[in-house]
Amino acid sequence: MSGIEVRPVSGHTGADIVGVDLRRALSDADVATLRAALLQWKVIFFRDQHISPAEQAAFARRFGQPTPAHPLRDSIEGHPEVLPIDRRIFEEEYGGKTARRDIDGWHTDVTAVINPPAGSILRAEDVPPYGGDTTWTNLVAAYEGLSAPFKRFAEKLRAVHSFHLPDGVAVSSKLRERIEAKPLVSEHPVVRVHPETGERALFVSPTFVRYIVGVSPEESRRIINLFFQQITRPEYTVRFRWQKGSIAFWDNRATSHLGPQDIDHIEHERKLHRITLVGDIPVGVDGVPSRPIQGEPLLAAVS
Amino acid sequence: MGQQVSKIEVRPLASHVGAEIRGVDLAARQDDATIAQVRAALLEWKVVFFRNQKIGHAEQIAFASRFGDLTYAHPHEDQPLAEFPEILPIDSRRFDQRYGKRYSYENRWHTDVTAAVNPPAASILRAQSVPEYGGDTTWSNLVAAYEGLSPAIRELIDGLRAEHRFGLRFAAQDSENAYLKKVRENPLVAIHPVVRVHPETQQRGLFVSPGFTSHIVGVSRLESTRLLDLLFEQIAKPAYTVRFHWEPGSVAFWDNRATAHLGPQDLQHRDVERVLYRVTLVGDVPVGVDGVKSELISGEVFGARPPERLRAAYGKTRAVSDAPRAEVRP
Repeated sequence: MSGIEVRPVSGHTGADIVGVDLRRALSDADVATLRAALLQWKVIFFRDQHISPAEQAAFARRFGQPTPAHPLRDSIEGHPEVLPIDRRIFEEEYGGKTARRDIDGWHTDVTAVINPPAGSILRAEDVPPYGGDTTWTNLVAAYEGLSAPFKRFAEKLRAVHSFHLPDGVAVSSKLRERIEAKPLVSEHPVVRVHPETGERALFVSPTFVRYIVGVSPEESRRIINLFFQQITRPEYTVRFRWQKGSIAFWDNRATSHLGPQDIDHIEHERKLHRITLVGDIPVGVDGVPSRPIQGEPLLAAVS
Repeated sequence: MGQQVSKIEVRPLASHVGAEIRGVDLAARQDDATIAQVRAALLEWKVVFFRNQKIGHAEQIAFASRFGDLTYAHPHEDQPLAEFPEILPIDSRRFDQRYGKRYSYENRWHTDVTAAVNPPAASILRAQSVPEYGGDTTWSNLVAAYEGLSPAIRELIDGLRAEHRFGLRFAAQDSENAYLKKVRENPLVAIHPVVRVHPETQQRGLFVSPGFTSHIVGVSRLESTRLLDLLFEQIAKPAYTVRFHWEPGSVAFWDNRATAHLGPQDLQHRDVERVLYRVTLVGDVPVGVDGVKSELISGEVFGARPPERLRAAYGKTRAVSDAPRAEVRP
């Protein structure tokens, strides 16, 4: 008996986890309960977990191997697997306010690599008293919401994902140099078969998808817009208000998410710590895995 | 009318669609070989044009009848010409009376009368009085448009069907308008394959148009809207089109199973008279890639005889069945 309670918070996506103190070691049963909740609800939330980066990493290791913080960005000091999600860093990188830049739109984490992270664990250190919510969408529900002809259509498509700078966005020379020095480009199936649940997910990551393979640029643009509209339909989403010590743990194989959109005029700090778990190479409905184009896989961090 | 025996000349006007036919006087009766050549040019070029034809309604009807049975003027035409019930006037003066100022029945890209379960096989349009400049019509080759899609999209749409209805935008218009009220009260609706297999050439054509296609059936509203946007853009691509400038006596003859067209777009700021006369050939029921035929949802087959509700209006005219008889269609 783990004493963990799973409370769904929307019709398709998201559940609050109650009755867990992450300062203490989890039992195997606890881990199994949390994993099952994650697989079912795609993102699970914890409140008031006042833990250190090391404790966050220990928690993450119960579910997989942490990756280095990010292929192109720096980790926090002393914890190579912890990525700071800090508005000040982003504002420096992008030369000002960030929320309206295209790159901050809906995305699945790091899909530019051949093996995008399996899961992401994000914990709030300091957040504004209001504003700065994150929204997740359930890509399995979005796939299942397609009509039969469009499911079959999508299942045969592949898309090229890359880490790139959107047109017209001023970026610091440091980030630009890193992107240019280490291009990350991969081709993934548009419909991904989840390695644990066998569910099919509409695996399009708006920030990273460049084009659909094998169709004209115009067709690609229109198809992508259709799929983006599909995955961002409110019915598949959940929106989460952060507090200090809040944790969101999402299945990065079955979700996309949207960062804060409404904090440019709020001066409060917004600082979170993210750890991502090593993911496998996506596989399409036809059994064909993703294809690497440029860059290395995102493997386990060396601790 | 004498018998004309001639070798016709077919001059393509664009790479995918449209050819001008020279050496034919439509006032004369054509021999079978000439008719066969015109038909071959029509099937290849989808729309053929004749210039300087000094003909009236009777000759237009006689020529058209060599290619098939003629329909009555139009499913919603309740004031047909007294002597020529097959003739549909495309007449700016009549539009003024019915709708206010406009120059065509449908001012977006469309294929004629696809709200009927059997849209006309072909249309023959003759210009009587047209502005010296402006008022062009543009045709698009729907076979070339289909072939220009990527294989993935073609595979998707080969299995889809769409609803076509007459008066898509009328709901938002003046509800007191008597003509539009009649259109609303007698809805004409059909479901056609999105990809039609041409009954003569067996070519696949993209059979949707902004004028009459309301939605794709069996998919979500979002999917339908986004896909139709893509397909509508495809049929209107300049690559697949030809644009024709009318003169008095110009005749355009298009394969309505393989084309869409766009009426005049540049006359709204002018006050000009534009009068053309159209006849349409009775068409068959479209068939999709899967062999399944179109489905009639509302209204009647668009054939030679007007439906019951229009019988009185057409009864005042010479009966359509008295029109010059068509030869048996191939």
